[in-house]
Amino acid sequence: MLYNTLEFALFYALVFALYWFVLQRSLRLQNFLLFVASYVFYGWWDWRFMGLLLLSSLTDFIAGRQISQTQDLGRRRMWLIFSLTVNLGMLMIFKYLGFFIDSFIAMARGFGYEMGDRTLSIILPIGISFYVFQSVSYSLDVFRRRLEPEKDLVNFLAFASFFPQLVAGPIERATNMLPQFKKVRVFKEDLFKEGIRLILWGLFKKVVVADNIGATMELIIRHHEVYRGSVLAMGVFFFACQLYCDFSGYSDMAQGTARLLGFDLMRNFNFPYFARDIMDFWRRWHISLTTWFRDYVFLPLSGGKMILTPWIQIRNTLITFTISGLWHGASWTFVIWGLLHGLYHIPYILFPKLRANAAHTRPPFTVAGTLRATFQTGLTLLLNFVALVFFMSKDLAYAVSYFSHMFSASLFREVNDFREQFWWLIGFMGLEWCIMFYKKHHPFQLFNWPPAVRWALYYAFLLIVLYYNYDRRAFLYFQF
Amino acid sequence: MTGGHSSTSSFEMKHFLLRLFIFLAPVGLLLLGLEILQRQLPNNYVLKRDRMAVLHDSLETLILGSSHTQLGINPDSLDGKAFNLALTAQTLYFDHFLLTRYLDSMPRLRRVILPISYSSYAAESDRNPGDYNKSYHYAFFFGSTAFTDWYSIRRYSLVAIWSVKQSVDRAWAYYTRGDSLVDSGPNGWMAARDQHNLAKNGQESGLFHDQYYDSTLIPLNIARVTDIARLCRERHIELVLISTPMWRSYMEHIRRDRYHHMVSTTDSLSQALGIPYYNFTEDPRFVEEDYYDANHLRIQGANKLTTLLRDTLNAQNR
Repeated sequence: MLYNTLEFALFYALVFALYWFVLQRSLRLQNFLLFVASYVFYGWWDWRFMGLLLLSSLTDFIAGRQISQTQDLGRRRMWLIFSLTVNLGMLMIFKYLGFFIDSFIAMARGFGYEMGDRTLSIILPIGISFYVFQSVSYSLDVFRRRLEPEKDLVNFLAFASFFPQLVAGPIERATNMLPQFKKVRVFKEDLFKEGIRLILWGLFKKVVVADNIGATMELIIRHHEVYRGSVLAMGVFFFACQLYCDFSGYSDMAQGTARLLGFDLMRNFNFPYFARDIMDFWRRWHISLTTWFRDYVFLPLSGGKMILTPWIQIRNTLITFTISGLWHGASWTFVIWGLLHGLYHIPYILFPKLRANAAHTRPPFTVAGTLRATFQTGLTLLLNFVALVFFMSKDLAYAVSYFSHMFSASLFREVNDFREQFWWLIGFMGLEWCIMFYKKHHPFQLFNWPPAVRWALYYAFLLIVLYYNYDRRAFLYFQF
Repeated sequence: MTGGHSSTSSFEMKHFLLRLFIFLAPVGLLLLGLEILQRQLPNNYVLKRDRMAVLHDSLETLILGSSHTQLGINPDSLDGKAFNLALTAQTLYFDHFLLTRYLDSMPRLRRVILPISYSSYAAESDRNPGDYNKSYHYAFFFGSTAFTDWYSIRRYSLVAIWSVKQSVDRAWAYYTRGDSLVDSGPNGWMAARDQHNLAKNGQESGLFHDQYYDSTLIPLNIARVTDIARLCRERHIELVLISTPMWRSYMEHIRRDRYHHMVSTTDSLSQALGIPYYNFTEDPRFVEEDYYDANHLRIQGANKLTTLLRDTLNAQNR
């Protein structure tokens, strides 16, 4: 059930009505409704995958209770390992088994052993990487005594399957979400209005920008060999915009739909393409995943030490980003994408002064300051674009082919296709820059319009969304 | 644990929802108006359905299939009264469905022409995202229920099937530019005059037809052809299988092994069921000028194919 379908609108309206008008006097029943609705939402794709979600949730509920009930470190560890084994085992089987078998066969073939083709074809349950990571963070936090385990099964199941963010995040922490499931929810008009604005802005980014550019990208990706290098370079920019609008659009809609149910989800994007260095980029892009990797991979690798030698930092960064790449997809292209981002961090680790020069300070309003900030943003984008070619490629051979066609003599020839889309996207990025500059989240917050103008603006956005809502592409991050 | 919000906040919420309703009401009315408008506009499905309602008594030949026969066979060049019921991307499932729907209402029918193309046996109407809505067209216009969900708004709304954009564009084209919105003539044949870039189109359509090729569907579709043959045999109707001409740029971009499999499967079916099969796929009599694009014929090509088919059938029946 995609957010931009009538099915979801009707489903959500029904849940909303029951939640606020029938069950409003019982928090427990409201949570039970959220649990049931979330399973219906998830089962809409394939009812068989509901079992996996339930298995993951029950495992962590039981493990959390058991971990907290004993002081014996051995037993605590045993229950944590149980939780990790079930969750990561599920991820391993459904997401990575085929990839590892194929890679092993390819490696054996490289050494002269012929093992035949045993490619496994296992359907990837939608959103599994998101809910498994969310669930695992709960067990880890209970183990580290950062969180009291949840005693109410309904609350926990509702938290672990909360439909607004179930299939593509943000990957929420139990420390942020579970208290919200225990608190009475009260209608606040301003928050509701903000929720609706977020949904509208998210829909605009997804339906109007991402899906339209997606159709162009499909052409470029399918026939990359017939386009000029300059068009292929522009194609990477298109893909960057598509990915951002698709994913941040989903996150905005998730935040908005959650807000209408009285929940506050974390912000997942903060204008990442205006970052002035790669570290800054990762503080702005898919923030819930970045902080997850920081807390549960990078910091544990550092053994809890706050001050690390540069070489240990580099090692840990490379490991973290490689795993992050693999999280995105079971393919070498994602591994390389992650590794490249890890490598991009090395200059900033070796020369910390570079960091101070870039993102931590607002550029001064001088010609030199603006030029320097523009250069830094441009360089960060360029590095991103190089890595994105791997992200958008189905395999390494395709990535090499894309690069070789892009870095040909035709790279310097005039762009002869898709110019109109390019200028539209530049306009959109300009709007994003304005929103960032005024420290807002979406364009409806930009000015204090009179009510009539504000309504006209909402109507304009809504009609544009309705008009362009025809392609109905699945969200790109659903596949992860 | 119990909770809830005060009557004040309940009042505020109702007030808020009322304002939201007032905001959304004009948009809802606009969509309703668009839906009513769409139902007034002509389209290929309505044309074929309405023409069948008029012609069914007198029809002697019925042409089924996808755009390959929709563009490729001119019913007026065949002997006797004929109608082209082929529609773009019509799969064997819907060929079978339409034949079953109309068969008993065509007392004079003596021949059914069914095309078999490269991916006919390996296609289903719910596989290709672009064609998924086709099933809803058949549901809306012909009463099919296959490959659709009863709870989907697309079962009941043309705007939902076509999207707001396409609905607005269609209405705009019809009322402001006077576009017909219907590709086919009264005999169901789509007469194409222009010609696309055959090289480019051959590559694109070849790759496209391979993209959703699903070999697991082959037994299912063979069973459908077999059942169509049974239905025809029981009513003493001749079933003719044909493969329409394809330009070389298309043939270069499809998988040869799959093509040979399609031909050998159809040959086997033809022998087993005792029905004729005429394969014009790489027939050298069709030249570049005959093609609309790399896998469809234009007027002169369609007339050539229909004449060849008519003569062949006449020779066979003599």
